[in-house]
Amino acid sequence: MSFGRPKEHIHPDAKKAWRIKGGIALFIELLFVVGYFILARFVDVFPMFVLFILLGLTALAGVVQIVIIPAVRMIYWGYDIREDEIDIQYGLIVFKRSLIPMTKVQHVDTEHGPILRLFSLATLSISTAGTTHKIPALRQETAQALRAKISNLALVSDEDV
Amino acid sequence: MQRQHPAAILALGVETFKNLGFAIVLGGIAGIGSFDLFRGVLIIAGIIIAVALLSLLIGLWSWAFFRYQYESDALHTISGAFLKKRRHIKSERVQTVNREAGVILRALKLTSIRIETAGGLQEAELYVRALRKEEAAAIEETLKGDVVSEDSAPDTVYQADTQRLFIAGATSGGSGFVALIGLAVIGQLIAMIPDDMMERVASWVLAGGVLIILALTISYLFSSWLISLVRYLIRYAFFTVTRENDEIHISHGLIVKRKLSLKLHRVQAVKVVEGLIRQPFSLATVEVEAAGGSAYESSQKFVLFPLLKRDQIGAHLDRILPEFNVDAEITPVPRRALTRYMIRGCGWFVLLTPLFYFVPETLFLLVLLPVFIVFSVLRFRDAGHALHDDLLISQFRYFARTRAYTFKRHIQALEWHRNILQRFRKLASLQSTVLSAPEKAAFKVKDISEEDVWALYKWYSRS
Repeated sequence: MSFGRPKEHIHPDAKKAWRIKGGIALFIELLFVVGYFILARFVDVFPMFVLFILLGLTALAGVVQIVIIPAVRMIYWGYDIREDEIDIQYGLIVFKRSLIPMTKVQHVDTEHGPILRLFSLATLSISTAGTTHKIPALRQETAQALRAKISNLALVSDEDV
Repeated sequence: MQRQHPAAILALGVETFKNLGFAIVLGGIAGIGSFDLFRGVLIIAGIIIAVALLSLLIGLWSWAFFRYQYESDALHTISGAFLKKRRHIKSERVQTVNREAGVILRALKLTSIRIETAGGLQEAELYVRALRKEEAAAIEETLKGDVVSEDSAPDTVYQADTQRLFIAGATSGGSGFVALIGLAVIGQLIAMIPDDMMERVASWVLAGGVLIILALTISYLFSSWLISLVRYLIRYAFFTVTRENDEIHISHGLIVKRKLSLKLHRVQAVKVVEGLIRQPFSLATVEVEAAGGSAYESSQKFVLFPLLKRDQIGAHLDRILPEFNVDAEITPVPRRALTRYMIRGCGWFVLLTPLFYFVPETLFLLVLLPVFIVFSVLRFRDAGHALHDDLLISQFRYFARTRAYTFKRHIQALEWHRNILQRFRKLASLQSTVLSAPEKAAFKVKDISEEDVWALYKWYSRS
């Protein structure tokens, strides 16, 4: 790491949520493979051997989506909410780090989709006048608390725009 | 409550016609190409007349149902036929007052006035299309309250003389755009020309050989350049920037007179843009990113100084925005970034290899490779940043070299991106976002060295 990593990690259950998402993606990919199988069965133009290539690729994608990506994501996700700024980083292949001063925060939202709710997790979304930043998969209580904390801090420090 | 001057009917009519008619007529031309010439012209004329009548009707409608009134510190309007919409604008909420007058309005000694309030992002809060000039001045005066006082006369900061304007227009680089539009129009016209005539012209051109084609191309390019020059001159004629207390007024235009006002505290960033043709002559344009305002304003782009010698920029900025007049040494991106700039700019040529292999005739595309190499090197050479106290200077190039100056307090968020290849070379791309009407502007410098990124992080961090 080139610069100090933000000290907070997101909730470990996020890994489970991401695995489920990966599983759903795998299911959709399998549907395509089945579609190709039906096509190849009835139309001569589509050769059968491609089916095996597709199956192999899908299996590989499954491993990547369900095992590797959630684990790697977990390692690289980090955030830090300090008195006067928010520090967020994520990603291995595409790494991104953002620094948002408290004074620029316009509003904070929490949102949770069906999968996140399964693990009582929530995504915290922080908006400035020009940008939006997300911290995924925090424990719902943590997200609520952070939302309150950030709104308070953002209120206190009020520079000009 | 009073109505606008009846010229508003015409003004809105013309505006509607321009928005609506252009598309319909273009569509019409495209569709009618299959008919013979006479019937085609007849149908197009019919469409134009119908659209013109409809536009005038729309103008009449909105004029009839719009009334306004102004008092000492507020402006009231009522609009709408069935749903009456009332608006009250108080003087203390007024952000800017802009005036604009086209040919019709100027002939009748009228003007239009646009009043923007803070936070109105979508449309002008209030737009009176036609009223007497004196009345507009009176409204501006009342809405601005006591700000407009006689304690300081407006100070002229910049005035574009004919020579300067001419050079600016000649080097604006707008001719490419004109040439493309021209090609589109010509393409449509060709569809309308009868086949036998087309054949005769084609055989004549082909008989003349390369020379004729070359001459035609050159004269086409020259006339596009001439048109773009004239367009520029019309748009930016009489370009004047004046300063009055904490407000700058920019006015320009030969046919349509535009007058923009900008409170200085709205300035979020200053951009020095050196176009491809201008840079060799050390000429530059200075633009401003401003917060607030409306979509209308952003479509206008705040050009502060259309053309200046590079060494005059500082002196001019000193009179309006002295805090932006900073001479700082740009830290270029490290040498190891060159490979990445080359890959980004020319890498996609590799993707063309199968094409070259299967269709050898396309090999002539390789002629373009040197152009892309030159651009990649230029982008690499010009990319960089500098820090000067609280000021961040980002320099980058796509075609024009742009240097953006912005203060720490105006940056909404500072972000770094790094893909896995940049990671190996210890590089990262920097992005700073500032407010700019109607939403935001982002300045991006690619492949800064990691040590510099860390320094920028510390510079921006408040803890």
